[in-house]
Amino acid sequence: MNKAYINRKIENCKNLIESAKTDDQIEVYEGYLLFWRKKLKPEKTEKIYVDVDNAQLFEAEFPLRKAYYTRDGKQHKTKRFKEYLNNL
Amino acid sequence: MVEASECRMRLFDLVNIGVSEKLPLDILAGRPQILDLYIVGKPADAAGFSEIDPPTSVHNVDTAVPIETISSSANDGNAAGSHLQAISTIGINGEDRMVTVQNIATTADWTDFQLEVELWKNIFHCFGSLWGTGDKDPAGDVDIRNVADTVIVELAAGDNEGNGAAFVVPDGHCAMLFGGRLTRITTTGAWANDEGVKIRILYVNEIDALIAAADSAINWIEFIVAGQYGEQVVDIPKGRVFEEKTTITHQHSSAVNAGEDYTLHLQYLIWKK
Repeated sequence: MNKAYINRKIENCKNLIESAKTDDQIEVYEGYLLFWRKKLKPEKTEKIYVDVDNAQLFEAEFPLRKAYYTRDGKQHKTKRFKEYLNNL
Repeated sequence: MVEASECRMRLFDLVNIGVSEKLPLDILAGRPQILDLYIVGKPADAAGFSEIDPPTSVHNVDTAVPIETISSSANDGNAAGSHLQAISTIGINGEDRMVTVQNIATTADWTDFQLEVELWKNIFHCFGSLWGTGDKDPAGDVDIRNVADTVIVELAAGDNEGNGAAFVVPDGHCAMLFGGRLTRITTTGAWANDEGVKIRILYVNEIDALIAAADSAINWIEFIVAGQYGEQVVDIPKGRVFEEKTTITHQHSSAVNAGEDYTLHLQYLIWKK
């Protein structure tokens, strides 16, 4: 599904919203608009899964090293893991 | 034998086709329509019911929305030499009226989807209704779909009759089973006495659809043509009335365990209360 196709869909949804006669119609068309806008955004979850997979691979290859460390409640990539990712 | 079914659905305004019998004046005042179903089918080789010619996906929404049309072939479109030039849709529009609307291709290449004007609460069926000189059936698969690209009903390439044999009684309307005929037409089995065809008209009233499927009532009317020692033709009686928002689907089954060919003609009279 190419970007031009999705953009056309989004334009159609905007036109439908503008020409809607009832609030119910607007709500439905906004649902369609959201549906197509989501298609434009990169899949964030996919990226997380890739990172997790790489982290597992890294820790399997280097059992004594960690892919992430925690500071102030947040997870950060270790220096070694960053180097590992850069060399992929 | 492989299960098969094909439904031809058409909607007629009674004032346009005339009626052979007198209807009560209050029905005539309600702009009566006939929804005509002609089905050719064959159940699976098992005594179990399955839906006759179901739509690709059910479009049943409270707020009427537009549809899109699209073909998978560039040979369908509005050029003089095109194949399919228009697809008609039967359903319920935004005014709670059962209608047939012809969707005409606006470009020479229908592989580019087009957004149609009519708004729909339900869509039951589609069929090809205008052709160019290229061929008298669609060159590609032609879809009726919603704005989120979910296909509702479709024409397969080379087939002018789309799928869909179920319908919903529009809000503010009544429907009456208005006769028909079930005929066993199998030519195999030498009229074997242990086979036959069962047909069910399933109706789900609005009150049934409000609760979970597991708790809802399943209502149906059943017709059977049996084998050698039974009648091969069953006349469908008139008179059963269905209330507004009732969903009506049709099912078939082998009476025992071998699917046999049949034809089923059904008419429903629909009028505004």
